[in-house]
Amino acid sequence: MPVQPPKWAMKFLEWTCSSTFLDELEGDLLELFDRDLERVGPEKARRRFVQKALLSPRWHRLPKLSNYHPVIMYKSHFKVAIRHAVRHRSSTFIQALGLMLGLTAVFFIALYVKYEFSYDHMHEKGGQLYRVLRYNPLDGARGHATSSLHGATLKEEFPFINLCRYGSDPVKMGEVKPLLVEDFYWADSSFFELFSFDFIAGDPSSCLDKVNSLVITASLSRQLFGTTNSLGKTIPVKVYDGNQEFLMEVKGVVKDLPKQSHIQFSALGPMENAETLYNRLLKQWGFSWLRTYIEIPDDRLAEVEDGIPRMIDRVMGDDRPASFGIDLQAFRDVYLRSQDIAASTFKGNIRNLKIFAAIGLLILLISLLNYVNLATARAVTRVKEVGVRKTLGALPMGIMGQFIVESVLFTLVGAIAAVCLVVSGLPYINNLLGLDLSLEVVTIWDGLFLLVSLVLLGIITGILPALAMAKLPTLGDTQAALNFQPGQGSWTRKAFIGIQYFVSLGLLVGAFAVYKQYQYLKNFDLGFDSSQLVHIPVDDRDMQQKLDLIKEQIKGLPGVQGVATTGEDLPSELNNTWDLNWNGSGRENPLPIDIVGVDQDYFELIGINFTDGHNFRAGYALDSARTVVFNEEAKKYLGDQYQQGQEVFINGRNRKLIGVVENHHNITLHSKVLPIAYMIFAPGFRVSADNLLVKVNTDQLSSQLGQLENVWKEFSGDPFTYNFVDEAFAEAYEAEERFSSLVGFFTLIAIAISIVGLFGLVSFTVQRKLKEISIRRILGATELQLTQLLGKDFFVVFFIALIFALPMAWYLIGQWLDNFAYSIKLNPLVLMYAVMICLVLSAAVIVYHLHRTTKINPSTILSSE
Amino acid sequence: MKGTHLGEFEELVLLTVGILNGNAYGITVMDEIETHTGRTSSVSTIHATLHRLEKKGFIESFTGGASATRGGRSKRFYKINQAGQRALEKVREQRESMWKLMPKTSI
Repeated sequence: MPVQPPKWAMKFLEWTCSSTFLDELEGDLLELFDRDLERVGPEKARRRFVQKALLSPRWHRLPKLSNYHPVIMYKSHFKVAIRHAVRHRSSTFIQALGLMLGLTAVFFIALYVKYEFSYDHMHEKGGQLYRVLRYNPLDGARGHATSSLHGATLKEEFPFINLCRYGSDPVKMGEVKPLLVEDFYWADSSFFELFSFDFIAGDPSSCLDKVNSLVITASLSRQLFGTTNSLGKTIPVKVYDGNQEFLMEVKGVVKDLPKQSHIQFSALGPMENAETLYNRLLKQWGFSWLRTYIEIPDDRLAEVEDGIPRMIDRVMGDDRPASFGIDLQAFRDVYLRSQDIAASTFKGNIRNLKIFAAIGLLILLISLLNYVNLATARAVTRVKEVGVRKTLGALPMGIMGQFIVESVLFTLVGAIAAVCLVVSGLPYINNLLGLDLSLEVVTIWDGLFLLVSLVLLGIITGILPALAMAKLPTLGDTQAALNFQPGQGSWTRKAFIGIQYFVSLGLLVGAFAVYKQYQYLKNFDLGFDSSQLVHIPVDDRDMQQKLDLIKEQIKGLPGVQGVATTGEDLPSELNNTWDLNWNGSGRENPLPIDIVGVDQDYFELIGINFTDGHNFRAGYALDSARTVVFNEEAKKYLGDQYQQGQEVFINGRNRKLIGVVENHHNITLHSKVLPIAYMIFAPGFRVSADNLLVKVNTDQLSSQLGQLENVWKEFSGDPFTYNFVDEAFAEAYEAEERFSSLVGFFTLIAIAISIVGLFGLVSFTVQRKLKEISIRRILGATELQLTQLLGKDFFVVFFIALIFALPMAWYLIGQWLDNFAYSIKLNPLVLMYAVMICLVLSAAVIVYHLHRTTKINPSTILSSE
Repeated sequence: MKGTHLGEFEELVLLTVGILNGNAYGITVMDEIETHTGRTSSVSTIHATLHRLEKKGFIESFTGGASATRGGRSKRFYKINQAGQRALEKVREQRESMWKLMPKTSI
């Protein structure tokens, strides 16, 4: 046996060279191979042959797609596809509906995800901006409230950074018709160097340079001055906390801020003013009410991060508390990745976004599987057509081309419909789900990407039915062709239905669980009575002095059941954490305890009971100043050492512990009940009472609110603002509510797709088994038996899907619930509901189809051939 | 028909086909070019050029000459035709008329 060139290389030649040129090429290469054999030996000869073979493909001799003329055929494919779609209207409709629903959901989710990710991306320097966080190395807790010294020290240590501090201070603007501006901020003059907001008037670089300058948004300008052209105008600004009034001049007007910015203000004043107001601002690390942003040049981030511990050591020396640290957070992460940061109120949540993205992919998956399934089933009706085509000389490539063109066409039409639906339905969906999505975030590149991926999807989904049809026996064997049922009974179709059931079941269980968790949070027994409670913030320090007077006035109003004052809102943020010590605590480090300023009416008003000891005594102001009431959680600190009336030290000052009250949730359920010390403070401190709580009779709400406002007006020229405590608590779960309704919405879509798919498939099965059903009916089969006959396959698949879906859903939901401080125990009944819903819907679909066929006289069907 | 312009390599191949006078196929052309010019080229490149020349109508091909060394595959022979001859002569005339204009001083 003479030495031969490698077989695979010969195969390669056959593959890449059309038969017209094959002899020439193979012959010449073999001749050269023989020559090489003599000259360089077998090994080298074989290697050279391979080399030559691999380099041999030339455009002119590549095998042609044998007589297949794409352009002409595409025209024909389009025509056939449209005719076929029109002829089988109902199944076309079902197929398109499923696809459209799926794509709508996917587009919508993509829009949502993109929208959330577009937060804070409008700033030119966005990539170099960081937020400075307080960081406790002991427990890893982070907070965004920083002192002025945080920023100043950083700037001193790293002169190359650009620093901007930013602190909220509610103010009253104007005199004749004063306007309460809650989102007024003091900011360093570098503010507009870091952040790019659009100016209508004024110079961004110098507008905050001088004391008493003011930057306002267009809409505030219209409210205050009736025009956006307010540059140079002056307005008195009364700062509540500082209890001082400035005459400020408008130095800049900015466009209303984009919604996708976590920085939201309606007015800015220069930090210099704040420094004159608060003398502790520049000196104390503990005076933390600023947010600090810094800009770090691209290549020096590591330098800053590494330098921070050294800086802390240098500045604080040995006195440094173990709980002191500084952390940096990338500016663009602020909105989505701040769940762990104390008192963060951003609705963005990267975890929920990931869940949505996953749901979107699942919905896309099931709508595609659905399409493939229906298309394969539909192909049955085209056996004759394809047979004739084959007889006339259509090649497998041509047949496949036709099905692929059809599915690309379908996908594109479905996508156009979905885009129309998303665009026209956006306002309604925004309204329904409490979102404010907009199409602004979509770019031309997204459009192109979408188009390309849709065509690809069309090709992928078209391949399966196309392959099935290409395998159709040629019409020479007529009988075989007519009995041919593409894809029928194959595992693929069953697997596809199984996956649809799997996804639907999983999403259903998830939607139930999410909804239950939300309801649980909303209806949680907070441990106090939040109904009929009106909360009135009193920001003005002058007015806080007269709080007792106002309280007495309100008490006298008809229908008012009680009044109390407190230093914290409900739900509260608890941002006064002090140190707790007691004799014999045996601890070097004091324990943290949260301080709530109250009066003696507070506990009774919101309905919490004393479990031990007694309330503050009315009228004994001096006595009250030396006493304290704990909640149960704080009592746990003391453990065995607890005695009624014992002395405790709070921030170093001794107080007598006169009573203990039940735990109640004065903060939202995102965190557990914290240890709290209730105390009475004279007016004028940070912790002093600055809120009125009024229990009203809800029968005559509007007249009572009117009376409250009248009392308010006697004492203050400020606008009267109030809210209801139970509503405020419900609002705190807005993010959960939104998540719950979104998950519910998409679950509905997923189920709709699956049911629509099932509907289509059952209708084909019924059509195919029409004769069998008719004969059975004549022989006396009941409708129930027929349902079993048709449903058997589906139900087997359903139960297999169920076995996989339920444990997985159970596990994943457990993981999700673990993120809550208070969560439901998942009830197995939820699983039952999901299963029942799927079963009932599936059975309904089958019964519906059967019912339609049983209306026809079986003899009509049987005699039709 | 597309342009009948002769590329440099095409001219070389066409000339070789003429020289080989009926015995021109992939390998002989390749060898002949190597002997005369020292240029090595792959047989597939020769095939592509021959195909192009045939399309341009300068050569004609016929099959024949299967032999055992070629695993029983037939050869595709190429023969220059009238149009090919004319094209070659035209190129040569152009070159010669241009050479005449070349100043003698440049050695």
